[in-house]
Amino acid sequence: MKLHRAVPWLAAAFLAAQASADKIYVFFPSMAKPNVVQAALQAKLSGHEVTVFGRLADFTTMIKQTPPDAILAPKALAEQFPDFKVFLKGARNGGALEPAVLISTKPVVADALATANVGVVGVLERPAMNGYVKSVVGSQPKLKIVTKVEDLLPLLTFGSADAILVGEGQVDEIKGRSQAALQTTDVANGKIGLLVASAKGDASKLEAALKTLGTAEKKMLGVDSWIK
Amino acid sequence: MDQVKHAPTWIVAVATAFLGAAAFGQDESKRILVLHPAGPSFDDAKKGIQETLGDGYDLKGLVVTKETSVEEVQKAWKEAAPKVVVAMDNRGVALFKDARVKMSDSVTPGVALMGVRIDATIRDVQNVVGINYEIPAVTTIVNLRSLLSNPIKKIGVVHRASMDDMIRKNAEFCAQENVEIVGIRVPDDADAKSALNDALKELTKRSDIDVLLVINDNFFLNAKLVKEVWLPRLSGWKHPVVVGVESLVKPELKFGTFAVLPDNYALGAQAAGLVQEIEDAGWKVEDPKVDQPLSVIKTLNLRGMKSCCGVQQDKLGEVDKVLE
Repeated sequence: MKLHRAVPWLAAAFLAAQASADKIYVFFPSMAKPNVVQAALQAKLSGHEVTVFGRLADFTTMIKQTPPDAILAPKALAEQFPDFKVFLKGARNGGALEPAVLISTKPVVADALATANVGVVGVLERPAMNGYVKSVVGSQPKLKIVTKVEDLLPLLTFGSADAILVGEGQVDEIKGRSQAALQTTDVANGKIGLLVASAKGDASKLEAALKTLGTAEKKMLGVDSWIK
Repeated sequence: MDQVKHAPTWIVAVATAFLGAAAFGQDESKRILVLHPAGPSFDDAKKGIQETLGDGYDLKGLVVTKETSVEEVQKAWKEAAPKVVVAMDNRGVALFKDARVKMSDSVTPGVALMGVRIDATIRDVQNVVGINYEIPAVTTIVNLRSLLSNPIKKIGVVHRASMDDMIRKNAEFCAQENVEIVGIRVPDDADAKSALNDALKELTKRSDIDVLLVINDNFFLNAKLVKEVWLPRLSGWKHPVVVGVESLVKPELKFGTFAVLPDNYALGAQAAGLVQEIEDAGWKVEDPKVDQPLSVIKTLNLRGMKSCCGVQQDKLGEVDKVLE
């Protein structure tokens, strides 16, 4: 094949590779808006096409409709997509799991959790959230599921929830927004999996790029470092 | 392929009947009738309900208008045989209530949302829960406070006497966050222009008012009064003005500095939570209540805010829309 005939094919192959190899979908509920997180990540992950989703349903639908090459999502959610294998784990204080904490306006009695209303951000589809929370707190409270981290505090203000369940890393941010006398209760043996990075194929380039993220970007993803 | 092609007719019939029954059974057990006006806000809320509940629930929508009759709702209701009726907007809620009476059906539970004063609208209605559409002042203030360098202790509000109960409830919520509502109460039959002018004069001359909250009430908030009272009175007042309409926060208008509006998708998700509570209770309302809306969309007039107040730049990422 002569070179001038091969060029269109090579270009097409290159474009196809580009289109399929660089797509990264991100879902991680935080105080920062998805467009802000997307701009921050995109700036650091040049050569990759980053899409940050604010809604769980959009994230899961797009994975089915236009599959990406890699996803960044909370561990529990990433596990729902077995085609994607974890290649990097987000960590805080050296661990890929963080202690689970209940924030409330009144003291929380661990034994009474089964009859309590507990607010939580939905990181899985509604039915799966019951099992997820049970695995974290050890009993099955009634869940008040919200779509954004900032919506947790109103659950306490309006008395819609007895407590809200968060990871240790979110406690200061949530308490910092309020002047109410909020209390925190550690969940005995309760751990929440942080964000993980998973991919279908070779993710060595993305892995290297993720490791270059600065403190601000990692904070948006709820981590302070990466571990294998 | 041949085997399928030549499968005995009875197998096909049984399979079809089975699949049909399964599908029918699913629809019957999880069907929800949604009465809603046309428009993107209502579509967003409906999407929030559907996506939160998942595929196991079948939402049947009926678009309601001023012309929609109770008979049309009754027909849709009978056809759908829903486990729950979700009624949006005051028109949808009114039709739901009327249809229920006509059908003598108090068994089918209802969820009311996206209307004015949903709490008052469904106060005496049995087997119904709701979500208010008005954003509580505390939600607005907590969101605004996280952006500002200065503290917020007191917020000024001008309101009609008929809103006393709402203001009282808001004051209770705000007290939890150490914020006091300073309300100027105006009789419902007062002259809106002079009453508003006097109230704003009083509020803006006080040195202890940190924020002015503008309630979405046509009595005080209309184009004429914005031009003739709000804008001249607030000109030069160096504090945030919070509004509940996005058009009023445009920098060129020089009126609102921060707007907080309901997040309709999240409102639908919240309504889906109520539907699930109803389902968990055996398709009935166990705990009659009207919840407050939890989720909001925030728009900041950065130019206006910078001209009056200190803004924490690192918090701008928490705002949905920043206008400059």
